[in-house]
Amino acid sequence: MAEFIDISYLKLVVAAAFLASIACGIVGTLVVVNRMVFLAGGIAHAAYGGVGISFYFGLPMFPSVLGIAAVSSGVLGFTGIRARYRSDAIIGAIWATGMSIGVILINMTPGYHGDVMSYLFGSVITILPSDLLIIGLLDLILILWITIFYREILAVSYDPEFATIAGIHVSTFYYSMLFFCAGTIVVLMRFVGLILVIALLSIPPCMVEPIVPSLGRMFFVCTFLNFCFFIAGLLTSLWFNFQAGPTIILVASGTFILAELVRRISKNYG
Amino acid sequence: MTNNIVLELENVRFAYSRTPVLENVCLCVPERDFLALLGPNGGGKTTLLKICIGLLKPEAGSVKLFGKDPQSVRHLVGYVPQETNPNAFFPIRVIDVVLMGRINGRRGILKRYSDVDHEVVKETLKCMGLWELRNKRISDLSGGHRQRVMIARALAAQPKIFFMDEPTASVDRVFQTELYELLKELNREKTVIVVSHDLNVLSSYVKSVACVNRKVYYHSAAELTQEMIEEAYHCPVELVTHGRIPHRVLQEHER
Repeated sequence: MAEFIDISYLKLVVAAAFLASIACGIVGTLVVVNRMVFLAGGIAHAAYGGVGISFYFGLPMFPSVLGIAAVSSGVLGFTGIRARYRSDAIIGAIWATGMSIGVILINMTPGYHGDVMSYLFGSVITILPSDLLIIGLLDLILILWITIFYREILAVSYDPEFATIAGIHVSTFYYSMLFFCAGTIVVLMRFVGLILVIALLSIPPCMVEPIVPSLGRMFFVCTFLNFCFFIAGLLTSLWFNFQAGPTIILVASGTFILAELVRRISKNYG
Repeated sequence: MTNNIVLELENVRFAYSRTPVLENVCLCVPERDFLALLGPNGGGKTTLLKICIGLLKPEAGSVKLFGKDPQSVRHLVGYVPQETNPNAFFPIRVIDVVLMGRINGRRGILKRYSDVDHEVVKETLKCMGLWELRNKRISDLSGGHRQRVMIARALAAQPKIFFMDEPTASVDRVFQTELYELLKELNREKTVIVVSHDLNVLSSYVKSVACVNRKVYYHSAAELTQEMIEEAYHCPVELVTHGRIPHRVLQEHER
């Protein structure tokens, strides 16, 4: 019964899911092939500090979270370049520090904050038409970026040392990747939340990485998979009246496990 | 007189931590030299190579490649790294790795690979015996084939100077000889600097030898007689070193 009331809203959510899949497919691919999943996790969790800042100072949510995500990705990028062997420990530190700042600031803000959970675990009902514009803009920038610099991005991701010799400014691309990662995480916060975002960035690329012939193909396949996971997850959550974010993630990880089993079995009997 | 010196290192010092890997290194490589870098493990061969092409910055001293800062002449450099597997499971095909050699720095954004680029890459792949494997994923290749891909990528760049770090460490004998024959031909116009342990194969190709063990001793063609190198046939390559060891092949350095 509720469905026909929600039909126009459902359209909005599906459109937003489609646009989010594109950003997620592109950035997820880059995050996985550059072995930066842990780094992305650090950015996502540190961004919770932005939620706290928004609550405490009464600032708008989206810019606050994006700001903190961008700052932490900048710091992480800097340590990644300067002291690569120490970077995973520093990621761990920033990961927890950002979250702690968020929690303390929310504690200090008077009043009831039941909606805090929605930033951690996602809440599709908070999606607004203006979000479509933001996600669309991010997609546009991402698509332009990978189209213009495809050769450079490929070289930097595959062999940074060689890319340096080929005259490519490797650190610029490294920072860009991290900033785009921050942007995508913030966009996905609405759908799956900051804690769960990492699964959507890593599961599709992890599934297709061993079978695709090129990075370009991987962008497309991951975008497609993400969209499938979004739609299947949203429908399942409506059907069972579950929270959308975790349902999307479980659909994705369930498919991943199934695909992995099928692959292993067919390998043994093929 | 200096116009035919392509690589010049002066009092170069480098350390990863406290103990210097290279110290007071002076090296002058003339144009069209075919230089072999020899030395024990940990002697600083790879470090020296990376300093020459500007991947590492020396703590002290100066490096001039074609009379300039190495970073500004990187488009003239062909580099074959020792590590043939930078990102093992990366989804990339052989042909795309070799095409990478054609990027060569500032060629403008939105620029695609030209017909010339594709032609050069095709020639290189055929020459390296990789044409049939061009659409294979790099992760499906054997170690030897991967090393050929790395060499092909450097060749495709059509550089003026080659820096190769043990380019034949995992390839078979036949290809090894083929590669050195090819380098010999390229050497008519280009400078080749190669780190290698197979001195017995190398001996008929190199024009000069530099021994790298924290310091660098250069032995020019004039100093290096065929006889001297041939002696290396009779002893393990690791023994090509200086001082106390009885199997000395090269003239002792003046201190």
